[in-house]
Amino acid sequence: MPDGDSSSGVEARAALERALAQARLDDMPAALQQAVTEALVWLGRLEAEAAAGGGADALPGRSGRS
Amino acid sequence: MQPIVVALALMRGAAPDVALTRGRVLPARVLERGPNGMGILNLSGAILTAKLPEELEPGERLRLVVRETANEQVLLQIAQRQDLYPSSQPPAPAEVKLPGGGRFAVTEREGGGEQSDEGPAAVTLRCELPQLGLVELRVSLDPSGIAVDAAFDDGLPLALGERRAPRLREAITAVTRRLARVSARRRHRPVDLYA
Repeated sequence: MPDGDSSSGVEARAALERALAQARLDDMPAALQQAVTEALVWLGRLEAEAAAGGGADALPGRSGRS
Repeated sequence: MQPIVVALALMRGAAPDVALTRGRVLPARVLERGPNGMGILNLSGAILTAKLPEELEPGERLRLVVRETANEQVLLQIAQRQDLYPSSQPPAPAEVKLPGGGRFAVTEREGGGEQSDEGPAAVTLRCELPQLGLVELRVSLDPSGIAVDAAFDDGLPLALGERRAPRLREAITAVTRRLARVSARRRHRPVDLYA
């Protein structure tokens, strides 16, 4: 999933938009569609974080937990 | 397909509140085609003249990604074109593959349609991801703003979701200019009462 921040972030976002287009959400309000896009980009970041070592600071009891 | 080109000054004048950050997605509709590749576009509610690719026709609804702002011009890449006659479209597939891995399905829709561009509306997505597992996302829009409810499996997925929820809230607020609320919670697993 795209992280939206990399050098190819625009292309990745466009790929995500094409995937979303298949879900036929285009009759929904624009703000809702934008929020869905952002939520999927966010999930992509969480997925990458989990894959990269599990985001140790996110686990309760680990250092960095605020 | 060639990008759509809009004069930056026109955009700033007609839609001063629309941030033109790279990668931002903007809804648009082609209103008219004129001579010399020019046309009139409704871009996020602003009516503008723009240089349009030849393939676009009046009435088409688009989703555009801000690619670049340079030389007093905004370049907008077309991410999605909706057919002029949506009823001829095939039904949405049960599941959609996500770029880079995983898939999602729209499990519930409320509101929407041609006459309800401002909501209220909501969609629920069931996302299956290699690392996070099953994530249920409900995104809703009402006059008070946008709410996201994200349900994760317990453990690392939930911990990450809770910790990073503020990032999503900030991103949605920045893009939509609406108040956003994001909550991450434990996903309810189905219970087999006969076990």
